[in-house]
Amino acid sequence: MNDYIKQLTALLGQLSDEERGEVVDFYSEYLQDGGFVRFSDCVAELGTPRQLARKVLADYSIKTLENPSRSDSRTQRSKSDVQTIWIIVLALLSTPVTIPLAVGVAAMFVVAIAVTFALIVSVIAIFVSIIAGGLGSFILGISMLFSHFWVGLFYFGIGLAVVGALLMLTPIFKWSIDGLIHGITLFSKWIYSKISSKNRAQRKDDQK
Amino acid sequence: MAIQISSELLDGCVLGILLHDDYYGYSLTQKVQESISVSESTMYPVLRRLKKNDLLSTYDEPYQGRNRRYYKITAEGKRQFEMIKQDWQVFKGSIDKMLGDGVDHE
Repeated sequence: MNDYIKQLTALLGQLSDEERGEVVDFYSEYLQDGGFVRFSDCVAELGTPRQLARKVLADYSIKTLENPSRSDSRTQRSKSDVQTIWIIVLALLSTPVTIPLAVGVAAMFVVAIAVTFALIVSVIAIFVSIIAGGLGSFILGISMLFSHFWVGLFYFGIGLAVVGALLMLTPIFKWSIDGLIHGITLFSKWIYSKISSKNRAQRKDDQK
Repeated sequence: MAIQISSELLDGCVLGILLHDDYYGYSLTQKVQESISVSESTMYPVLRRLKKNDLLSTYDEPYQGRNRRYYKITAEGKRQFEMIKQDWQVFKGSIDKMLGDGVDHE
């Protein structure tokens, strides 16, 4: 049991001293009260130290997601989303890939991330191209004002209208990018919940 | 059980257990696991969150040469428990309505 706790402590290095102390106290008390003495008993109860540490760390990051009241703006949510995605990606990478299923799930996850990234890039591309089109028309309009006044004025007006409309639509672009990032975060959380190994209570429950 | 319990409900369950008596980590986990399937790694964050929001307090009691940390519900925790209980009644009512109970609709 002492080895188990020692390994767990070492794996929780990124938490603050106080947080790590509380986690370690909780689980060492838990193992003592439950009478789990041998290392293998502890693993049967809580999973390997690495699995447990991964869950603790993931819970720490997912919890900030579940309390939206603490992050005031969408930008903050996006930032913590990105952080959560990274932690879960790392957790996935540290999973032993002995199970083919895990490889499949990981592949699906990578594909989902790639698709989301592509969507984000295309949203940005659309935004940029509309701006370019609007500005182009605007400049063309000005340069034609002197040769063909009415045609020039027409392009001038179109340019202004396009840029104006785009500025009004900006929140939609920002919103869709935020939404995509949030979507992939929910997806990662879902995947994480699928592959994180089941513990004693859940196994017992499955047998019922 | 395929239906996952939400964190609000789990808060409510833990507070409900502590309403009757103080528990330490292992015994509390056992108590919850008698009724629903939760992992040990779920219990710790719940207790930590409840304590952070002052819904429960902790105290240590010596036991066989070491300390056991007991969890005790606070007045604020009792208020929160009543709120969760009411929310659950409303939620339960609407789900029951949709699931039908095999009555009405004729």
